[in-house]
Amino acid sequence: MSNELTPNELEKKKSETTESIKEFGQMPLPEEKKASNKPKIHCLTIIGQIEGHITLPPQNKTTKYEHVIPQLVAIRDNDEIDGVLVVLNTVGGDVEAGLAIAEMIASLGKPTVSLVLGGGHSIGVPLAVSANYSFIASSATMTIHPVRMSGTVIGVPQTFEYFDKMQERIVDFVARNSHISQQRFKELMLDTGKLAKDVGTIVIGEEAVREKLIDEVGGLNEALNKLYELIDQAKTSKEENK
Amino acid sequence: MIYSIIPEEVIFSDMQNENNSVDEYKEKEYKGYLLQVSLEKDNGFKIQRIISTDPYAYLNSEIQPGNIIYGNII
Repeated sequence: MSNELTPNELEKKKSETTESIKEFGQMPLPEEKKASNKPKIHCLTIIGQIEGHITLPPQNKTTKYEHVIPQLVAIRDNDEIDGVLVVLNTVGGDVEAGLAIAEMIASLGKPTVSLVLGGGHSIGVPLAVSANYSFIASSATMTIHPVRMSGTVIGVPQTFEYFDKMQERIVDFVARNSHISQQRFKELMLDTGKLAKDVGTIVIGEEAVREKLIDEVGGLNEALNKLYELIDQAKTSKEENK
Repeated sequence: MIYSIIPEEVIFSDMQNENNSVDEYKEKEYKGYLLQVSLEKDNGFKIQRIISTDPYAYLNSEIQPGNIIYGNII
C-alpha cells in the first residue's frame, strides 16, 4: 500500500517523536491527512471578554476585535475557505465590538455555523445568533440581561433613553438573526423573577432552543455536519446559477 | 460600553497593584503564525496562544502553546 511507510521513513518518524518528547516534553500530534474534495473550514473561537475600544487589564482573557475582524475579512476573501465554525465561550464584553463582529459574521457570504459551549452570555448572544445556523451544547448557558450602568450616572431621562437605545441595538440584532421576537427577547432580558439580585434570564441548552434563540442542541459533530451540509447547499446553488 | 456578566469592578480591577501580577503577553509573528507569547528569563518566548482561525495551525507541533521559541521572531 502506498500509505505505508518504508523502514527508512519509519526510522525518521521515530527519531522525530523522540526529539519532540525531549525538546517539548510532548508527543507530536497526528498529522493532517489531506482529502482534496473535503471542504476547507476555518474555526473562529471567541473566548473570555470581547475586547473593543478599551484594552482590558491582563487578568482578563480576551478576544480582540483587531484580531477577529481582519481574520473574517481574510476568510471572506480566500476562495479556498468554504465555511466557518464559530465557537463561543464568552462572558460578554464591549457592545460595539461584539455587534461589529456579529455583523461581520452575519454578512460573511459564506456558510457559518455557531456553537455555544460553556457560556455565551450578554454580548455573546448576538454573536451566537449571527451565524446561518446555531447550536448550543446541552450544558451551555446564556445569560440575557439589561445593559448595566457604571461610573457616574446622571439622573436625567436622557440617560435612560441612551441605555434603552443601546439595548435596542442588541434586541434588534438578535431578533433579526434568530427566530425569537423582539418582544419575547425583551421579556427575557427584563425578567425579575429568575436571577438572584439581578434582572434577566439564564437559558440552558434546550431552553435556548425552546425560546427559538438557538436552532438546535448539539455538539461539535452536529455543528460540523451542519456546516458541511450548508457548504454543499451553497455549492449546488452556485452551480445552478451559472 | 461593556455588556458582560462579569461586574465592571472585576474586569477593571488592577491585580498588578495587589502583588498578584499576571503575565503580560506580547504578540509575535513566527513562521507566518501570529502568536501570543510571554517573555522567558533566557530571552526565549513561551507560546501562550495561537491567534488563527485555521484549525490546522493548532496541530502544528512547533507552535504548541507551552513551547519556547528562540531568536528569529518578529
